[in-house]
Amino acid sequence: MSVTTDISALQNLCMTSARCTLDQLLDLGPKPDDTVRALLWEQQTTRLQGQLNSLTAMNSKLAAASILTSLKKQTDALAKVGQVSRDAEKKIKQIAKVSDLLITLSKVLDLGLAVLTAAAGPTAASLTAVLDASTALSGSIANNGT
Amino acid sequence: MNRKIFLLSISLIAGCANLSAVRDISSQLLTAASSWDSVTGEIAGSCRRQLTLNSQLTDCKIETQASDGLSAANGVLISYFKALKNAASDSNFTIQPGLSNATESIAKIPGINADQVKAASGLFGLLARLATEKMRESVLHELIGEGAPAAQTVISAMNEVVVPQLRTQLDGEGLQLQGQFGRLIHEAKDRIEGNPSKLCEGSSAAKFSGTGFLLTQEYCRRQAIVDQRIAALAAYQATLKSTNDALAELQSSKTKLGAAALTQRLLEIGAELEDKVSALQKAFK
Repeated sequence: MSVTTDISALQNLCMTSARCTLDQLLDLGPKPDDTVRALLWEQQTTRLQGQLNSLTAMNSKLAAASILTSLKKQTDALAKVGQVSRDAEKKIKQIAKVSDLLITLSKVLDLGLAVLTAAAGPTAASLTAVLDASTALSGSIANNGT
Repeated sequence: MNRKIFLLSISLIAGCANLSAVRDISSQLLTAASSWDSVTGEIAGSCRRQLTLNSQLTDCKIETQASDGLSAANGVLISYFKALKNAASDSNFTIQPGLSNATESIAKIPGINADQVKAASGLFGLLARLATEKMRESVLHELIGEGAPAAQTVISAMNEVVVPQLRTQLDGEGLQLQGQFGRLIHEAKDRIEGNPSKLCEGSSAAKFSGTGFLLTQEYCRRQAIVDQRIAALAAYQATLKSTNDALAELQSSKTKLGAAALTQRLLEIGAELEDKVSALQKAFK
């Protein structure tokens, strides 16, 4: 017999007893006017209320215990779901890296073109263009961590 | 001729990438799983309500542990559905920003004409798309092939254990309320005919003493919360079932995720799920 089955059997017992106790409690009816009978009523309702409180409190604890036991059994399945999700997110992020790599490649092309233009006819503007392209490439490399 | 083959390849790839049904159902599963915390939090919630009346409870430590544990399990499922949604979202599998930059740079090469730029960037794009589609296929394959059966195991346990336990917990709270308020109403010398829950349906409490009437009002207010939570359990159970169905469909069709039949079935499950989630959210507002 598993722990969950044991807990479930105990819960059934608890709830059946709680229902019987409640019926007995309600069957006592309104508090009598007569002092002696009122005292007896007080005693009986206090005892039955105490029983009902214990049974419903135990029911609450057993429900929680049963859920915790079930969760423990699901540890492997939950670990698997978590691992698969983390792996998937990691792979999805790799796509963004491909895009970043293309951006870096375009900066390399820009720098090469700027160097060629400056070598063919060095002017202040063409040299500034080389400097700008070089800064852009450094920035792209720094951002990608490559 | 070569141009036709090139265009055909592009359209075929675009067709395979039509995963909008998978993306939509993942969004709906994500919303459903996000609504489950309100239900599973009821193990502790019910205990806290009972604690105000029942001194035997002493605390709600174990109940809070159970609710927190379930919330953590929901969190794992939420991450799974998020990953599934991300894998089915085109925006996560695009190299467009990088490709646009590269195209611009190629266009600046002296002597290159527009057709050459188009050809170079088109080829570049095709190769990159082939690579990214392959990656997407592998991500989805693992998510569905390996993740879905494990997710189903967890969902089944929630259905088999959490639902009945929560029901028992709420039934226990109902008995506690009936006993506590029934005794107090009788102490006020008012008579309850039959089950105390009947007091909330008719006008019998109108004949009670002032104390009895006020006690009935408070009893009915508390009982209404319990009844609402019990009714919400059916919606919770239905969302668990729809989630399980969706995962089963995805597993049976993981090699043809763009298929029309799968799309139709996922849309149906999604519609069911939306209704139940909305009922669930309403119950816990």
